[in-house]
Amino acid sequence: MEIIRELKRGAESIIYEGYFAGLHAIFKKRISKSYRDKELDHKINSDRTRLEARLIYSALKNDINAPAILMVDPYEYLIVMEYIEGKPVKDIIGRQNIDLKRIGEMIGEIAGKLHKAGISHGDFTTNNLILSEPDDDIFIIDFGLARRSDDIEDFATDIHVFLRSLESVHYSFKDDIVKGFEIGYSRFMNFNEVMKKVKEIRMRGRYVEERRNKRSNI
Amino acid sequence: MIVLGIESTAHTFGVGIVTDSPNIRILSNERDTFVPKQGGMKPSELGRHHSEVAPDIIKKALDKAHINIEDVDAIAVSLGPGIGPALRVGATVARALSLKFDKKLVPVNHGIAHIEIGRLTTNSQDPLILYLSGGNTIITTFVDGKYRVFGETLDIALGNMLDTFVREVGLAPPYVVNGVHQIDLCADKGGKFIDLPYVVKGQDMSYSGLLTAALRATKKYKLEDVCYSLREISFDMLLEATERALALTGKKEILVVGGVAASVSLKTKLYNLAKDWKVEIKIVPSEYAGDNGAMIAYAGLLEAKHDVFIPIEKSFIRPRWRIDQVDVVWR
Repeated sequence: MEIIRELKRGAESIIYEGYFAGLHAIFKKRISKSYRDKELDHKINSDRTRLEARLIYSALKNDINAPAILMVDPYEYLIVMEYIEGKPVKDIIGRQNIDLKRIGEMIGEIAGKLHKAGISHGDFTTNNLILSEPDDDIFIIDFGLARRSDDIEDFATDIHVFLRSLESVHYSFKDDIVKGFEIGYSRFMNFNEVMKKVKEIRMRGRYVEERRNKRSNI
Repeated sequence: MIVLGIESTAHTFGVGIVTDSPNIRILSNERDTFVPKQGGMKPSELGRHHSEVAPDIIKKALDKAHINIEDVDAIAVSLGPGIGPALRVGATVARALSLKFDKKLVPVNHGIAHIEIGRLTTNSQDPLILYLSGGNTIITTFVDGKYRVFGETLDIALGNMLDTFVREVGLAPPYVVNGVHQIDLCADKGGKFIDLPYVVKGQDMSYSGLLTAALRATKKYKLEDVCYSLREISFDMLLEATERALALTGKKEILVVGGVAASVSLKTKLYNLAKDWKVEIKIVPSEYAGDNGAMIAYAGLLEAKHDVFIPIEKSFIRPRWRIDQVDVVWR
């Protein structure tokens, strides 16, 4: 086990690059937050480490592009997994020569397979989707907020979060990506049914005007 | 240009006056906040309160600014989001002033006003914004001409949740004592952690289940420990969503606006977070944290300079006007 360098400081963990048993690996170490109550912190970190490992394993068994797991230590809040050579979708979206529709389609397939396997990812953003370089395929990482679910509400939340990440960072590319997403997702799940729920979730946001326009507002 | 701004979206009726010559200055900021004797705010009582205090507050604001109403170039009014009967008073007063003195009317979104006064008073450039008030829990940032909502509460607001809790367990009113919220006073006497639902969905938060569970927990555990756990969990949920927003947007400043910005314990947590992320925390000064007229006047000034006006016959109130519906032409 050898760590070469810190790759990224995420919202809840530090990602290191290194080698594990000779394999190019990612070390995901959850961070204790200085602002958080100690007991809550331990509970959140160890629970999430365990759950994340289980769900990645489950995704792999269901033919989903996710990193292979090499080691798990819930007391050190550590998961060691395969290194995926590539770039986050977030960073490649604005580039030239990128077929946005195809990217969307691959992302849609991943979401569709996950949901069909009863996994809701919980943080399905362009930051957590990696375009791998040699084989030009998309991988999903960071199952930190994932959970087992057959609830359409959770699936819709994934898609809502994905659309949000497109809107808040890559607004002008959104439409093409979503077109592809629909195609890919529809191979495994009923897109229209889930989208109906997504709209419902958006309506729940505070002060959504469509929700209440019956009374006159003069 | 001199703009008079009227705020009446919720419990506060406020009037502020702002000028941009020779530089941007807030000339006055007067307000009167409705405090119910017991329970929460009744919309009809808010409307009555606002219409009673309105003439006096307008006069005070003009006097303090040492100007006459004739000197004002435009009347800005917050048309939403907010509580209908409260909004109607501000809108009616603004329309009347606009007609009688032939001043243009500027429609202002209350949330945008909170953000812009925050940017002005803290000198922020391009921050990630936490808009935390009694009715709003929003993480937002400026992208492509709009303040895009990055994350928000899916049900009740953080401020509303804490207020409701302290009221239901008999600690409030008053909700704030010497600048400290009742939840902090109560939590500081506790410290044993009780497991309550921690709900972060991606970058959105949900507080209604937490409120129910916390109220139920008071029957089984010491109130002080429930206060402590409720405060920790609810703030930590917000901070986790904030960290996600930082990871995705890479912003180097966090601007906190709205009434909840005054919370001491939230500030402490945010400064800790800032150290981890090497970002700067900017908190709106308390005078402009709660609802006020100056922020409406200032946002109105920004809009008026870009010819954003509204004809009186179209100046409907918009109780559900989201910040991401506003075209931010001045940035």
